[in-house]
Amino acid sequence: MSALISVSNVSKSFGKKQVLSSVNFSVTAGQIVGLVGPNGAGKTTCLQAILGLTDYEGEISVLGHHPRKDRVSMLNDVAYIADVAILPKWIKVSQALCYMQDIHKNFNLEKAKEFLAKTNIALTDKVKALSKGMVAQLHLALILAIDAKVLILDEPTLGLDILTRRQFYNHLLEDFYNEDKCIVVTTHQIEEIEHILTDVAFIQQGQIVLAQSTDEIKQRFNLVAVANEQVAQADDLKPLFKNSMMGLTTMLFDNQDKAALQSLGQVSVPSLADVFVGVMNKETC
Amino acid sequence: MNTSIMKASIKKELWEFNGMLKWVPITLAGVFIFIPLLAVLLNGVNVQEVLHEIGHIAEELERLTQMQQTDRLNEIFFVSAIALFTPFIAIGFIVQIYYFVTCLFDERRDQSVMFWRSLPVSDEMTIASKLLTGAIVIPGIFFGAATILMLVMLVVAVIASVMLSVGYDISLWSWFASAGIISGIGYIWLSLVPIAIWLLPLYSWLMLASVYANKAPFLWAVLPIVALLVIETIVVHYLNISQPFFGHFIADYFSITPDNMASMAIEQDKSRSAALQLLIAQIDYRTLLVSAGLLFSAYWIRVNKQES
Repeated sequence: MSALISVSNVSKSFGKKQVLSSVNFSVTAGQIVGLVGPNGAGKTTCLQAILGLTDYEGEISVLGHHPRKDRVSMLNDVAYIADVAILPKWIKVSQALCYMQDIHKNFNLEKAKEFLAKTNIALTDKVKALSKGMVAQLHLALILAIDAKVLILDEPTLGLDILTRRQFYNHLLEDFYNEDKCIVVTTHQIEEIEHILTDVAFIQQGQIVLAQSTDEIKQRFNLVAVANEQVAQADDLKPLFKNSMMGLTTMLFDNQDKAALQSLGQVSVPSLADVFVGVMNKETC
Repeated sequence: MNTSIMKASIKKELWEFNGMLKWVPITLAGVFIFIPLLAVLLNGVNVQEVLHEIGHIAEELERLTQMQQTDRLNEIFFVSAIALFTPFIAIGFIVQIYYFVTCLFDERRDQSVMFWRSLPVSDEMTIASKLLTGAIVIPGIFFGAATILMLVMLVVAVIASVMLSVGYDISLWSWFASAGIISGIGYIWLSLVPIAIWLLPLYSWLMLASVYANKAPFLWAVLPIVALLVIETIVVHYLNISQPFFGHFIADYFSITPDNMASMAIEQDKSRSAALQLLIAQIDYRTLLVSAGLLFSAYWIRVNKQES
């Protein structure tokens, strides 16, 4: 299957600071990829490069378009929600809908209105009168009504309460996603979207340190609750990460024989958050 | 250029500045309508005196009409129209300055630039639509308000004429026919584009300041020019150069004085076309080139400036 997004050897620096360093990954139809990394890892810059909002070295192709040279054509099939509440405060809901219909050939006004009808947002409301959660809902309504093939979400639920966050991702799956489309999402609340991700890419200091499907990651990594007397033996297997608490040490192992791990203690499947913490803290073990 | 996207972009600009673009011209027109009414209500009116005055003016107009002095009648109407349009043009100009200084700054301040740039509208289209809105649409709104006010006054004048012709046997209908009302207003509207081209360097500079400034765009618009003029004055003073080029050029380019207008009017023998000719005469190909450079710089900064 051909990639909808292809990122090859992409680098970017601001002055002397290297923000992205030879980043490579690709996203195909049907994938929901979580781009996960600590603050300042280069997630937003990577997404902005994909959207043609910043220049870069290397090659990026989105639906066959060059993001910088062919940005307007590309954006007919690519939708984006950024990490800040970026809808203009002065605009009315009805004006936002009208503008989207005027400029976006793939915008479905009825679909946006149907979505908004399920919320407390009135067409006459101004954005500045809406709560942060309602602004996110409005933005989502505008984006979901676009028949886009690629959706880029940069911390879309930042600052929202848990109910709104869950609603947001539920709507994303129900109203947008299908197997012909792909979604790239960055978030700090990885545990909340773990169940919807098909793939993850961990990014650290501008480099992709792990990019795999969630199924493969769950096969590859193991979390073992090791009793104190077996810690020394477990250390020999070079855990990625260990955490001692209340007389029990939890260790994360990468590509270790499952039978050998079972002799050390209770083996479980780690969450993506566990794997993320383990991979990011690898050097400290 | 996609005209439907251009229309949508201009509509968006009008929504954003809706309050200012709606209420300022309405208030101004209201001032022209209600202040004379208020003065009449407060001070009372001597009907005989007013009728006498109107009758005097009407007789003068009738005399000019009978003498077939069409040019003089046209000029009277045109000067009256200019007098009515001038406050609208002046206030509209202040609104334009405000618009240009804030049009590319506000979207970065509230971070909505990320939303706008995530939509399939090119940066060229955005810059062009903002320029068109500020240079043509906004003054057009103020011209429109002045024109509506003028039409209201003409309706009042028609009613007064009916009263004069019925009650005092003074007919002004031939004056209405020969005053060149439509062509006079048309000449004023025709000046919209030459004014926009003449002031293009100013508009482009303000847009550049608007897209460049992270804070206080108005200061960014003013201070570099002031600094340049001060430095040039110092250099001219110490090097004993006859006159500052830059300061002199700016003063010369942006000055349209009544003297200029009068001399042009004498040459042309018509005040209506004189105003238009004077505006066109002020346009300089060098300033058009500078404007193109400034607009391209504004576009380049919008495309390449990192917003988050």
